[in-house]
Amino acid sequence: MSCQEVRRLLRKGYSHAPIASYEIRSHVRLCTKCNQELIINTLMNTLVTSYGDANPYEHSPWDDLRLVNRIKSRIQAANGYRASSWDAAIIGVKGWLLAFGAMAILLLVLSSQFATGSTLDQMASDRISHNNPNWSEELVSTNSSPNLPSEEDSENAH
Amino acid sequence: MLVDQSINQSVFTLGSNEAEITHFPASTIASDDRLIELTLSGDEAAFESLLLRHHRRIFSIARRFFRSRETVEDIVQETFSKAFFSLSTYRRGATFEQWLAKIAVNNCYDELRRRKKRSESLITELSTDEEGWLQIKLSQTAFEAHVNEAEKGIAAEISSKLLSSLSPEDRLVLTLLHAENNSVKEIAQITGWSEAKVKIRAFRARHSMRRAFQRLRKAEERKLRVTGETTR
Repeated sequence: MSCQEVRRLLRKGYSHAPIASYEIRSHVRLCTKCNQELIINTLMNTLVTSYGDANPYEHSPWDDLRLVNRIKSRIQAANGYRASSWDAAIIGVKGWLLAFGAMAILLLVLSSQFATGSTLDQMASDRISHNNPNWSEELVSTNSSPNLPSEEDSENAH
Repeated sequence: MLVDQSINQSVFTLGSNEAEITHFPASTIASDDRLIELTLSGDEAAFESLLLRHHRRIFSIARRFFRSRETVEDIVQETFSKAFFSLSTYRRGATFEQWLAKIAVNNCYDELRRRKKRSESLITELSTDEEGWLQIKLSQTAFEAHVNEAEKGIAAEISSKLLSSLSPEDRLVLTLLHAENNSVKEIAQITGWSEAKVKIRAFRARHSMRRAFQRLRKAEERKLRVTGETTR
């Protein structure tokens, strides 16, 4: 195995794979530079592992009880927050709902008034036409030919 | 199969803060799935049992990322609180501990990102003890670097200085690979990244850590040179 190959394996983190590990070991016995690379590589892994190893906590039943209590209160608080946020959402929407409701009622009233007005007009016109059945006939001209002046018009001209 | 019962939060009222830990009798040790079912139906004691059964594992995960006891406890509490609220999404048959571990790792990752945003950590210099320890370790020809009880504090301190210079992603991958001994596949499952991404991340993380290590050592050499010149 060449130095390049050894360093590639070390960078890719394959130094612990069984075959690679054997070949790397054989190589580093003869190559000081690669040996140094391997040491740094191993040291890095050891350092990452040792981060959490210092000051291990001693667990006691009291710690467990405290943890349970804290988690419970956290869940309770989250429940309360969820409920209050739901309430807040409803309150927020309530204003809009009221506004929409008022608008809808207003529109309904206006449209019904408009509809009533037009019905009354219709009824009035119906009543007029009913009282004076010849009214429509009076509006109709006696002139049979629309392009020629009527008898009345020619008399007035004279 | 998905747990079909939706979580009934109103039933799980948790009336008092002064909890009494109720353990299931040894003869009737319930499986995680059974305890989850009971929790979903509003049994407070079942969730406590789940909590007490798995909290040590979650503590050990959080301690791989943070050294302050308060932060570690906060991560554990947050993990169980999130687990409680999303218990209905847990798939039966999967390992509950793995599911919890995934939540815990994600919490740790979020906390790492929050911290990175708050302050850009700079590599501080090594102390004389730390430099001495590194010199000894680097001069050894052993294939494995062993850290004994007395050295743990120094190693953790150097490790803290190195890891704080890494990005949260790099730190996450390295910790899961080396400290938690997870495979690339497992890391992909935990993080939701592809295996290729995990491999690339791990490669970059090793590179970054190596550069940080070299910077740390160069700074130390410079410091020694300066002190040597002043004494002369």
